[in-house]
Amino acid sequence: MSRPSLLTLTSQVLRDPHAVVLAHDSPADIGWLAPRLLGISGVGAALFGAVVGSYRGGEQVLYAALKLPILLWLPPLLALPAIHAAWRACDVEVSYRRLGLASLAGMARAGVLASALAPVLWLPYSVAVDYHFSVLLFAGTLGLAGLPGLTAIASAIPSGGHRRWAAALGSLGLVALLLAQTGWLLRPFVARPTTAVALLRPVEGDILSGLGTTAASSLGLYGEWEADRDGLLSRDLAPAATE
Amino acid sequence: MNATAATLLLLGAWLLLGVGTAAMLARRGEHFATSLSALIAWPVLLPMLTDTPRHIGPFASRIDTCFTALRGALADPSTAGIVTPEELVALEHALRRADGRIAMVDRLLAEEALRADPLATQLDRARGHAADEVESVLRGVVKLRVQVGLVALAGDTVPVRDRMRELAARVRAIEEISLA
Repeated sequence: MSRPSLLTLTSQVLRDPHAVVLAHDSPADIGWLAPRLLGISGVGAALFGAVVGSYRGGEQVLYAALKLPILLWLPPLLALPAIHAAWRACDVEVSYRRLGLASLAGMARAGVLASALAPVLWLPYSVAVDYHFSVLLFAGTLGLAGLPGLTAIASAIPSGGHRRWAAALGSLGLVALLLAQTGWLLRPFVARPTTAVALLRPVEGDILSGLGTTAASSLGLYGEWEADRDGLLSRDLAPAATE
Repeated sequence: MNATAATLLLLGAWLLLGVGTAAMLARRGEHFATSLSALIAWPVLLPMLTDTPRHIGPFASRIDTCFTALRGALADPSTAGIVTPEELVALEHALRRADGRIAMVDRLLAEEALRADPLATQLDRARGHAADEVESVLRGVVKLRVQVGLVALAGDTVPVRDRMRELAARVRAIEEISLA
């Protein structure tokens, strides 16, 4: 059996990422697989990001396409040593290399799913939905694409050990927290129609307060909180058609 | 320092660690794409720095092909647990080390000055013997894959375990000859 083509690998990652991890669990293979899986997840996430940025248009399409892959890559990679330690603490021997490969396969799966979900997001964006609803839609779609990616990481964990639920819950919580806060640091993705288009917005509050405010605003309950208008590489565009 | 600058600083630090890892991987002879991916995924690729350096010898691509195929066969759920990943990695490492030594001898024999030495004939013979052994173990790995296929259908794991033990012993013998 020769090594699969990029297209075959994409399909394998989507159908059975665990088999991809098992079939390439060697020092030589990780070097071959890592750039390909990163590429698959990067292209998928960039496509999804471009659609997210299309809500505001202009440079935001490029900015969101650049930032979405980072949002997909960083949290699992940052959490990797902690996840490894958490499972070892529960007496589950999992090799760091296999866990790393599973993370890459999970990211690739999430990237492919995100690009597949992009048209689902594009449709409501193209019919001029409310900004707050569009943010919630973006977060929901990203969660939908990310969950099967997380199951790919979970499938790499062997059986045995004790208090597995603690390690599973801890790992899931850590990745979710890192994903949320990385997203908050890298915002804006959708870009508020009343603010300038920017690569990065100054950090205010945290993800939970931000999503809470957005959820309340989508129901017409506006508080006194005002988003910063400017940010890094910001430029004023004409307000989006939805405003 | 404002929050945007702090975010950029954190991303910069991540990239800097990535550049360091990528440079070390490139120095060990890893492919360009592998080194490049370390810019982002350095936490995953860090263990490669402690692995045996990648030797590009005359059998490198055959070792790649044989072990990728074997791992593909062993990924089938019906063959789970017959051969542990650690056993497979140990066998592959030993073969790569042998391949690296053959490549080193090839470089020596290519030198005009050394070829004239009376010991060169002996070295050439030893090289041929080591290459035959590596070739034979690689053929054994192919047979092992066939036996794994039989396990999937017939369920008898004993021949696979026996073959694995035999291959491990043969590879150990190559190492011992080299160290003697």
